Order: sequence, then structure tokens, then C-alpha cells
Amino acid sequence: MTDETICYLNVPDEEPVRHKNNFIKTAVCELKFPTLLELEESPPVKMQKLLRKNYPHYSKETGVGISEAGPSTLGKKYLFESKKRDWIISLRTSAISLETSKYTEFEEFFERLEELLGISKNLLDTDFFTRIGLRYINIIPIDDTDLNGWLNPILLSTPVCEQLGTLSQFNSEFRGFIERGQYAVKHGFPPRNNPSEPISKYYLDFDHYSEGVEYNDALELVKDFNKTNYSLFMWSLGQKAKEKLVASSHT
Amino acid sequence: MYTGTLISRDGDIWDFPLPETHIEGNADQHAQKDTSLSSNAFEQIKRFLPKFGSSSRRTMLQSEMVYDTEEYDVEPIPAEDLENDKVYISNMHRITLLARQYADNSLSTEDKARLQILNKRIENLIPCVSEQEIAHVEQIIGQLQEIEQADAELREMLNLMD
Repeated sequence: MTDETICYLNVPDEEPVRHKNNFIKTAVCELKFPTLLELEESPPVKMQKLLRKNYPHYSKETGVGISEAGPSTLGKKYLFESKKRDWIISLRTSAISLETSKYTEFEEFFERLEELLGISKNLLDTDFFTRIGLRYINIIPIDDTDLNGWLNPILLSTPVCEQLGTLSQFNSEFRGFIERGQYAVKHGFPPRNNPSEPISKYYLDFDHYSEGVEYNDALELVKDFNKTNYSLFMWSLGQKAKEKLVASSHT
Repeated sequence: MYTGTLISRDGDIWDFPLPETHIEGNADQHAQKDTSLSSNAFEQIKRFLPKFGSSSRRTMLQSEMVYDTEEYDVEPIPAEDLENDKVYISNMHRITLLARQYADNSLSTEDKARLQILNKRIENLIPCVSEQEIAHVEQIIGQLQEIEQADAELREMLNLMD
């Protein structure tokens, strides 16, 4: 497929706005880099010292895989957590990520990411990333248990189709292109044991990613991802959800 | 004929005939005394003793073997120096990744990227052709050019133009 034949995501542009309440349950930015074998041998002591102020909780995990041949070590993971443990930096032999379960605004997320990249530049020993991804997992509360009006009707064409009857669960995924990478959207609702149980939550999982990114371009790319994500997010919402968001918001 | 007995440190026992010339006193007296052999007498009985070496009757332990040891005046590289040695570290990591590549054939994109970086880094740190070798080749080229020039002048002088 040539560039001429690719149609990029072209939902209406939306300027990111900070909402008093957001639906983001988890936000994570993962940056993959050429494997650092040093991390398999020794912990990143210098980095730990530099992160200690904002991420005082430090732990080390060793991944274990079970196969027919028996258990095997998969690699080490170093975790640096904030005081309230709602911000986590994870460092593996070939990836570093910043994750939060308490997302308020992109500026805060971006500042922490910028600080992290500044601190880890020497350690990572690379001038490019093999992949950068920015992912937001949103949980939309379906207050009135009626999916209609909460999401874009295009997304709801299957779950609200009467011909399919009552669905016990629904998961869907699609992927496409953006000018500086690709995006993936997963959406749906979790399994219901009791069919009469109303749908109270609907998840929207957005992932924007790009491969082969210069170290110095990383932050700008993440900013772009955030902007595209916001436009796609707003496109995905129905009127009820938008009203819930903008009920108390400021720029 | 009288016999003597030798007991090795490992407990092996060898009996051997004693030369008669050595016996002092009668046999009963001798039996109660420690056997004492002159060097001449020992030479005579040596032929009865088992020979050690490749035909030894037991399997030798490493600790029982004696070798000449050659010692070199090369001081070991301190561990901390190796840790800071870029060439050494790059080589070790490169070998690890190559081993994974050939053993598991399962290098991730990130592993491959690091391998490329290490290949390039090692190439820069330890070039296949040194600067001295390049200078030497340049010197040879200069000499060849001079010869070519001289050759051309001779041809012109002798009217041997192509």
C-alpha cells in the first residue's frame, strides 16, 4: 500500500480541554528502546537516586515463564512508584513506561514524562526509540443503563442491534493510520453473568503508536498523539457523555 | 632368599628380594630390625619395583599428576577496569545477543537494534584497518605514483610512447 492510497484518521479536530471529571482509568506512555543488557545484571542505581524524590517506592520484579521445559526467567522489571502509588515508572530491559491511575490533565502527565526522559537519557544509551505508544483506557459510566446516547452510534451499531438479541458481552477492535504512526481502538463491555443485569460501564481503549522515533522527537510525538487521541475520543462519545464531561470544565 | 617390603604413602605394598650381600647378621636378627639399604643395594632392588607413568595400574587423579608450570608476567586485569572498558562491555553484550540469536533465533526488534548499535560501536572502537595501516598503504600508493611518473619520463625520453 503506498502513501497515496492510505486514508488517515480524519475525525473532526478538537482542541484538548481539561475537564473536571474525566473517564480515564489508566493512562500510559511506553517507550521501547534497544535492549539494555546491563539491566539484567544490575539495578539502575543512579536512576533510582534521581527519581527517589517523586517516586519513593522502589521494587524489583523478576518475570517467570512456565513452559514444558519448566520455569524460566523472563527478565527483570524495576518499578518506581509515587508516594500514593498512583504514578508508576516501569523500567525493563527494553522498555520504559510512565503510567497513572490518577490522570487529571495532559500537562502534568507530559511534565513527568519530560522529566523521566531527561533522567534516563544516559542510562538508555540510545538516540532513538524502536516504538513509542500512548494509551488511554476510558471507562464510560452508563448511568441510565441505556447505551444509546452515550457513544457514537457507529461504535454502537452491533451492541444495540435488536436482531442480535441481548448480548452477554461485546468487544471490538479496529486499527488505522495517523500521519505519524498508527492507532488502535478497542471498545465494548465486559461479560455479564446475568442477562438481565444492565450495562453500567463501557470501555474505550485508545492506543497511538509509532516505530523508529528519534529520542529528541519523542516528546513532540507524544503531544501529537494526545491531540489526535482527544479528537478521536470526542468523536467516540455520544451526547450524554459529552454533557457529563463538559458540565464543569475549563481550558 | 630374604625379601623386603616397601609400603607407599598410598598404602600400596611391594615385596622384593633382598640382595644377600646386604644381609647383616642372621635372618632372625634381621627380621627384628628395620631394613636399612645402602644406595648400591637400592639400585639392585629398584628393578623389582613397579614403574609409574602411563602404565600405572590405577587411574590418576588430577591432584596426583605433576606438570611443568609455565608462569607469565601478565598481571590480571582488575575487575573494575573491565567494568569500565567500553570494548570489553560492548563485546560481552554483543556475544550475549549473538548467542541468543543463534541459540533461540528469537531476537526482538529491540534486541536487533542493540546488536546493530554494538556492531557499529565495536567497529569504531576496534577498526578492521588501523590508521597506521592506512598510512602505510598511502605511502605505497605514493611510491607507485613516483614509479609511474619516472616510467613515463623514460618512455618519453626513449620515444616509446604508446
